[in-house]
Amino acid sequence: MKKILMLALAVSAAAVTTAPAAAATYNVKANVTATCTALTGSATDLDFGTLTVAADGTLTGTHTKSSTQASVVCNGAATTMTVVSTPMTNAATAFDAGFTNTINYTTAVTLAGFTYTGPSPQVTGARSGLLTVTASALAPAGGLALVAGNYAGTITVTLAPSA
Amino acid sequence: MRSILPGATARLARFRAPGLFVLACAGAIPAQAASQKAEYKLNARIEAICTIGAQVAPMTLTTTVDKNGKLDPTLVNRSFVVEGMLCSGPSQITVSATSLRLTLPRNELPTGQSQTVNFITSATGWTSNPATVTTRDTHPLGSLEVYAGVPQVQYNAKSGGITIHVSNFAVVTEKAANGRGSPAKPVDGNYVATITISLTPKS
Repeated sequence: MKKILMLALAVSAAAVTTAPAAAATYNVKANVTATCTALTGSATDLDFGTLTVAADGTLTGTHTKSSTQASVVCNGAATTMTVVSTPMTNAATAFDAGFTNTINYTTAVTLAGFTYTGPSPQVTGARSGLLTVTASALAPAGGLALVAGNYAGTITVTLAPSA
Repeated sequence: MRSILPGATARLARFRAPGLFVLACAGAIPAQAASQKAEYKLNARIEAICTIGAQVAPMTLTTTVDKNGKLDPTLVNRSFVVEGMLCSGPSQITVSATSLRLTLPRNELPTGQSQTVNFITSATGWTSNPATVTTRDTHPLGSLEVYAGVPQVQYNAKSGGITIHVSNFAVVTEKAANGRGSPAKPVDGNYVATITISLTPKS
């Protein structure tokens, strides 16, 4: 009886010493949402004030207005920017053929080193910094004389976040 | 319990697998927030102006007087065009003129003579109704008074030329107390009148 018990213990000890090391792999995952800082637009309009015109009714001088927003962040590598500009127009419709009620201009939008060249949506990549919207180079449509009155237009900037 | 729709469970089982697959794919696509949009409003204002392209040279009329002292009828309906006028908004045109008077006027004149001629000026091509003025000197010696006509309004922005007509020349005769007077003969010499066309923006 004593012999049988000792043999059993020896077998048990051998089993402990030959077992493989235990290992487990834990996959850590996260998903960061592609997002962009909310755009505030301009607190005040890009107001060119009263424009001076020459004797032939065309614009004189140079005109530039800008609006900036600091700390605009887009973390998506495939983020795109779209810029849509509408000319400044006047509501007047009755005038001679030599006049126009439309002022064209050039829009420039930059975001932290990226410059939008348009016209279709362009990939900005992940960006962080200053957003600047500039309107300049005002010119009457067709080089015609401008009808007197108030003119209004819009620039719409859209940032579409995408990873 | 027996289902009243024996095939329903099986059909549901077939659709579960695709459903789970879709959920798994959704978890793999990176999430993205909504687009950010901002609108920038642009404003400008163009003041109403009126301009004239170039100063018009004086119009010279040459005429003769017959033995009865009547002016040459060819003076009637003479016209000239002022080009290059522009008003960027509604405008008002006014014509004013002095009488046609001896360039070097005399202080006294013999009875029956005059150094002053009244006439009518009208400006057409700018407004639907012509802007006109009639000089109204009453004494043969004349005056430097500037007579202004009734303004006419153009409600739209307009550019182009304005045609000036002169007509109805009439030698000023000294009137008697009863309002009548014998026709006077113009003194010989050069005569001059000034016609002014005023275009002003009208708000």
